[in-house]
Amino acid sequence: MFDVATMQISRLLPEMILIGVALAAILVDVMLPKGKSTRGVQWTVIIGLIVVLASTFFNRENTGPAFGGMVVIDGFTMFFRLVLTFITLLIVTVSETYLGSLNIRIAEYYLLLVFSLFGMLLMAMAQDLLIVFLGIETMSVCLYALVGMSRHKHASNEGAIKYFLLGSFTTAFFVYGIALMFGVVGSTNIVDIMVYLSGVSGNVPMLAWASAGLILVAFAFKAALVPFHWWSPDAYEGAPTTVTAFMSTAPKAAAFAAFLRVFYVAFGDMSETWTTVLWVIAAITMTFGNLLALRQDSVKRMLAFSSITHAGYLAVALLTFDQMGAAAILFYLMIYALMNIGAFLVAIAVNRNENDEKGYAFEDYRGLVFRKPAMALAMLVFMLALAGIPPTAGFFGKYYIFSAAVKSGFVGLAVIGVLNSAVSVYYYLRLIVFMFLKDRDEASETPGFNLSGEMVPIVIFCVILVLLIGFFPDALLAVATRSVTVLL
Amino acid sequence: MIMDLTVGLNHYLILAAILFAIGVMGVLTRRNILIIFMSVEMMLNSANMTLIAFSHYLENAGGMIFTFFTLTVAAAEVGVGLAIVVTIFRNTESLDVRKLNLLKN
Repeated sequence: MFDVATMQISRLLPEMILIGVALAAILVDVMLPKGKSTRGVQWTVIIGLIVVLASTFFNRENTGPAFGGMVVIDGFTMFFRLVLTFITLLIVTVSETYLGSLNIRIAEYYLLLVFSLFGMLLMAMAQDLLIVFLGIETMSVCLYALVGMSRHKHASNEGAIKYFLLGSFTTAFFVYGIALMFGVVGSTNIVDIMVYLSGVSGNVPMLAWASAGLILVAFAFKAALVPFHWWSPDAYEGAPTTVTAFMSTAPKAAAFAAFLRVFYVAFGDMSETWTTVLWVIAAITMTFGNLLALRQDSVKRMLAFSSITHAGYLAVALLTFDQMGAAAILFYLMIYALMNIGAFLVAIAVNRNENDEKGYAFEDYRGLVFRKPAMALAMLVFMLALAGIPPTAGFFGKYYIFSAAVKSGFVGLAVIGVLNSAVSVYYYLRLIVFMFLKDRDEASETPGFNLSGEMVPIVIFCVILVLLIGFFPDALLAVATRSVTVLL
Repeated sequence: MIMDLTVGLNHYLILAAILFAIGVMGVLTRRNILIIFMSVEMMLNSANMTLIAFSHYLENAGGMIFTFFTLTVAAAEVGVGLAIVVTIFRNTESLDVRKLNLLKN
């Protein structure tokens, strides 16, 4: 009956180390004096995450299902393990000084990041809807608390409660969808669902359709696709900016990982219908995110809306339902993380007063190149990458997505996507114009730059990677393509 | 005329669907954060009811085990959610979602 050998615990070594790291960080926090710096916890987590990355790398041959098929460790899981842990590592590294400036000196910040990373890793490896559900919830519950971290700020409270209410609302949809699927198939395992649905090919019961619809709603919410995006600009703006950088990259990657696994493997036989639904969602998402981003005067909010647009591009790649599209998603998630985190870090540095309601204004960037040329150049690279202009990595990300769409016959959608991409150039270039072409004005001369010691190497690192992947995209694409072979 | 009064799978499913719909309406129309929250809990419990009904009908314990996880997760959500509600109440002295309009496009 119960056999420890079939559980294959060694395949989950990185996750076990991660939990160990969280527990160690709690101990370190207890031993350090209260109310002072949380540097000790930060360093524990940094070292721990590096160990997790190393153990993932050295354990990469140990693949296969574990825990009786509840989770599966394959190339796809490995890719997301590396990407998600890497994003968390970047965010943890840059957080301490920024949190100090907000007067948040609570070690739980790092613990919540680590636990939400654990939830995301579960989402990436899940082969059972139960594990997808647990992963989503572990991730989300931590994120609700992270968004509300500045608890004396009204904006932070407001973002957190909106995210929380809408998040638990969609959780209910997700559980109800799983319940219906359980009734139809008699199992929540993704492989069982696939076997069942291919067995009844063309004659899928109504309940299964309802279930797939409800699950689609839940994923669309987590990935912030229109019309399920309303929480995202508010949560992104209310959250401390390092949390925003984290939320707009890692959970989105995890959501698309679970999205890919569930819809490509479990609902593969229903693809004709859900690709049509996603076609509409993707088209609206891209357009809507863009139109709202055009009107923003705050860089943080502009980046929040532009992240909705980027989720739309990812949805375009998702609905191609082939290997090229899936590989394009993985490629894009990686480079999007680099350019978005980089852009948010420069925004943190330029922002003068975190507690000001009018923070993160475009006006603050007026003549930035004359005052802080290196920072302006870094922002230039990130903006060009987000706009998808060569020779940055952003260009290849969009190129792979839209060429996958054209190859799969979604020419109309690819045209909408390219047009949207052209529109988005306006608001990214607007920031560049402010930085390079507008005269400096005396009012903005006041020093407000707090690009702290540890942020500098991370920003430089992001710039180098964005350019490097822009010149040599093939290596990353090859890894991405190899990772998705298990899906199709 | 003798009516068949046995309660079958369909009755449970329909009741759960009705509860779920009431929950959705509650979330969409109510203005108090706590009431919205209770509506969400009702939606979750209607999903649990569906799971248990199917589990009994299919004679497969998987659905009931799933319910335990759902309950645990819901409890964790309540913990974090009420903490956020408390911080909001401290800052605004109100639980009306209409007053949460600081962040606008």
